[in-house]
Amino acid sequence: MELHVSGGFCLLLALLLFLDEDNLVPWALFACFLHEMGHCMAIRYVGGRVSSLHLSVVGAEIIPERHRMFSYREEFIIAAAGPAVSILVALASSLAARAPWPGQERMLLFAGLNLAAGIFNLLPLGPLDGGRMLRIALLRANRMWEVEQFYQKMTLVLSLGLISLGVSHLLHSGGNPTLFLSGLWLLSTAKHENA
Amino acid sequence: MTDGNDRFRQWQTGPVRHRTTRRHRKDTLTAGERRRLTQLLVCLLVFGVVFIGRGAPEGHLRNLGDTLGQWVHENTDFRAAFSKVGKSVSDGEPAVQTFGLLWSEIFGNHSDKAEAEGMSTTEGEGGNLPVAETKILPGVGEEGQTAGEGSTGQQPAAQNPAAETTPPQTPASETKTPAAPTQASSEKTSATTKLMDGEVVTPVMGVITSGFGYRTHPIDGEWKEHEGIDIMADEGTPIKAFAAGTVDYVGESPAYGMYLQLKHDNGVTSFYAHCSALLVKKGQKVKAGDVVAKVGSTGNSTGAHLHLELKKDGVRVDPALYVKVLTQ
Repeated sequence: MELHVSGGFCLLLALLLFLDEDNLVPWALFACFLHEMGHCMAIRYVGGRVSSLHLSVVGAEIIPERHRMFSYREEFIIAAAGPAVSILVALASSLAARAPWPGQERMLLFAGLNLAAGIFNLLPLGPLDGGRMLRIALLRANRMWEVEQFYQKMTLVLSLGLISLGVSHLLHSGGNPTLFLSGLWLLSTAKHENA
Repeated sequence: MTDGNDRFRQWQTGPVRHRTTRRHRKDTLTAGERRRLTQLLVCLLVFGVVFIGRGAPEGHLRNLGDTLGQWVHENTDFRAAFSKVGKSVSDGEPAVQTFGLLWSEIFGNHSDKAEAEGMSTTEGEGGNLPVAETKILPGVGEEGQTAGEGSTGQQPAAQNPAAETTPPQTPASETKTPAAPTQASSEKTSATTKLMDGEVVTPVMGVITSGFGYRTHPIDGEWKEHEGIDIMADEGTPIKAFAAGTVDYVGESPAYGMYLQLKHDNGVTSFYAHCSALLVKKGQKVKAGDVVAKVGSTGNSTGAHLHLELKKDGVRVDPALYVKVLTQ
């Protein structure tokens, strides 16, 4: 399996590590790793093989081998596997956090991170798994380019909506920039997808 | 293969790559490849600089980092936010509540404390939710009350360590709905909020060295919940009773050192730890302001201070709201 790392990814990682004050990023990265492993396992399950892993500003992408075409159902399973693994890990960590042991607080944090990763990826936007699942579902009844058009527009509108919500959050007595930054990121990925 | 099928394959396998064959020649790189490689090297260099520069004590990079970091972290303690979400799942809270917590903690505003508190309290009262409560995990029964040893608290309360003021947040009990005390304002002024009827006295006037909620433990370095506040004071400083009441118990333990608890009206109890001397006995009645102990550094302590905890109806509350403190 090949590994491709883009310059943008290095910059993004650098920025995150730079801003990381409570040592969250390593745990978040591990959560993302498990999420991607979920996709890989699903690919193997449906009989495909993973050819490469691409790390870019858009995120991590698993590229399966080209000569094997997946059915709609298989694609759906592959897309759903990522969030499913994240949510399962979140549940497992939260159960582990019930017993009093030294790693308890870290388990709570890990549970929260995984749940956030799973739920966030289920959003029907941009390159996220939820978006892929939605597109597959729509493709059963509609033409490909129609679905793509609709999806691009929806991603654009919703990410602009998130951005404006995020901006109003910020302006309203200097708030949390997370929503705004997430909206921006989603908007930037829309451009990437087109490229 | 028709055009449509190729497009499907493209979409299915990710971003478009114009070269479908890999060349394994070891000849010189094309201009495009060289450019890409240079870009990658530059980015790796930046990454390296940032990674190392993060530890630099002074300089522009540090200042930039501090400014940026302040902007990102000023409002939200992300670690506590994620921990709180994790705890919500672990405690078996309804799914809707957990999702609401995800939104409000990660994306929401934490500057307006009353608003944030209002949100978490409404969600804490399960009866108000119109949707059927589907639980992610089966609910936890009676989790053992923490008796005097510093084990995990039941109620998570997020705290922003970056801010100087300790943000008040009423923790939700998993077994009872919290009786939320009325919040005066989110600013830490000399005015205190009312916890109960009757006179209330600040046990020790001093600077808070460690606030309520999640923080890195000063001794073992663990990320734990701090169930009270630490007020710095000289060894031997008299500790006054928070309010009129009865001495619930006195004792000594490796974690808390010499400690005592007072029981007051309205279901309020106050707990004082790390004392150098205890001046009352169990069952003794005290008035508000009576000296009940002296500040010390017994037990698990880094220096002379009073560890103060307040509970109302079994729910731990942030004592900083109800006592006067010295700002630095």
